[in-house]
Parts: sequence; structure tokens; C-alpha cells
Amino acid sequence: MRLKKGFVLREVCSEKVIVGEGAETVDFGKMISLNDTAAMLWKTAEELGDFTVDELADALTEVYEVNREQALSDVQKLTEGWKEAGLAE
Amino acid sequence: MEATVKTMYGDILIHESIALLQEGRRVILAVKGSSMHPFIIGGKESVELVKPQSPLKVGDVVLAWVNGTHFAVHRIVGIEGKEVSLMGDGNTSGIEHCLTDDVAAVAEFVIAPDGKRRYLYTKKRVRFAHMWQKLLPVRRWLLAIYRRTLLKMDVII
Repeated sequence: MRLKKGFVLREVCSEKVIVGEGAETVDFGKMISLNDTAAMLWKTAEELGDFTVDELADALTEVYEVNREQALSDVQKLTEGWKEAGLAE
Repeated sequence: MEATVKTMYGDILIHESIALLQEGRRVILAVKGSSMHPFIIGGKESVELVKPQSPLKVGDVVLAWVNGTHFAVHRIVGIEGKEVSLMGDGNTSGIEHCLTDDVAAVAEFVIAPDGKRRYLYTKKRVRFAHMWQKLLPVRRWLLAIYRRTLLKMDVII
């Protein structure tokens, strides 16, 4: 899986949001709000380029006190949400 | 009803947008409310904004800090020197005022939910906007008909 090009994590009003962004245009018309955990995973996914649910679950368990089973389940749900929203493929 | 910029993040998002506009970037913002009917459908559509490039003129749809109280995306209906009067196309009364320096951006395109962009200043739309202004005395009834018919059929002006 990988994040689609053209989406940027921004901080607006202390909230982390995904915004469609090109060289010329910033699209605040359809923002997707992320909590801190999801934002951390987004950054990890960005750094990895191609990523798997396993790799993001690893990142989650390294930073947060969560067991692996729960981490896998949470990441699976999150990445499915990203795919449904057209943020990842 | 105001066609204020979507308030999910309130004025802070607008200030962030203005900073990006100042850098020369285009910004798309969702709008809400019915005050720009029938040209912009608040709650469904967004506007693509640019920093004003040329002198403002009557008929421009702009993002402005109006009446010293709030931001609105409305159409300029008069300019005298530095004083600008604005009104929502979907309003039947209520002229707002600001100075030219309070106009942060000009709306160039409307973005539909499916991503299609339509230019606000085609000859046809400019003519229609001009006529719409002339029809202000009967706008109340025209809007009522529009909202009961064309709006429900998703007809784009």
C-alpha cells in the first residue's frame, strides 16, 4: 500500500488534517481530520513510501503501549479508511 | 443567511488561507449557507480563491472581512474609492461594507462535489449576475421558485 500523491498533513488550529495540495493550489474544501496517533502513522507511511499494515503496527507498538493484536486491528481499520477516502492505494 | 466560509476551523483556517494566498497560491475553501444561491450552493460546493490580481470591480465574488465582524464570500455590488459594498446573491436585503484592503481574495471558480470546476465569470454568468442584481425587487420570489425546483434538481447556474 502507499499514500496517494497530492495529500499533505497540515496543522490547522492545533488540529492535524489531511489536505489536498499541489504546487499551486491548497484544497481546504475537503479536509480529513486525524488524531495524534493517526497523524504519527501517516508520517510513518510517508517515510516508508510503500508500506504494509504490519510495518505501521510495528510503529504503533513502538510509540504507544498497545498490544500487537490491537495495533494490527487499529491500523487495518485506519488504512481501510484511508483507502475508502481515496488517500491511499 | 450568511454564506460564511465553513466554520470547522473558524477564522484560523481563513487566516491560514490568506497567508497561503499572499504566497501566491490558490486556496479552495468550502462555503456554507444559502446566501450565494443560485451561483454557489453552500454546504455542497467550494470556491477556489486567488489573491486579488487587478483592481476589484463590481460583480466580483470575494472573500472579505465585512462590517468589521466576520468573513463572508459575497459579491461586490458597489465600489466608491476604497469603500466596497457587498451582498449575497441569495439574500434579498442586507448590504455589507468593507474597505478594499479587507478583501482577501477573489473567488474564480466554484468546485462541485464531483470535483468539476466552473468559472464564475464566463460571459453568460456575468450577464446573468448583472441581470440577477437588476431583479433584486423580485428576488425573493425568484429564489423561492429556484429553491423549490432547480436547486432540488441539482441544476447548475
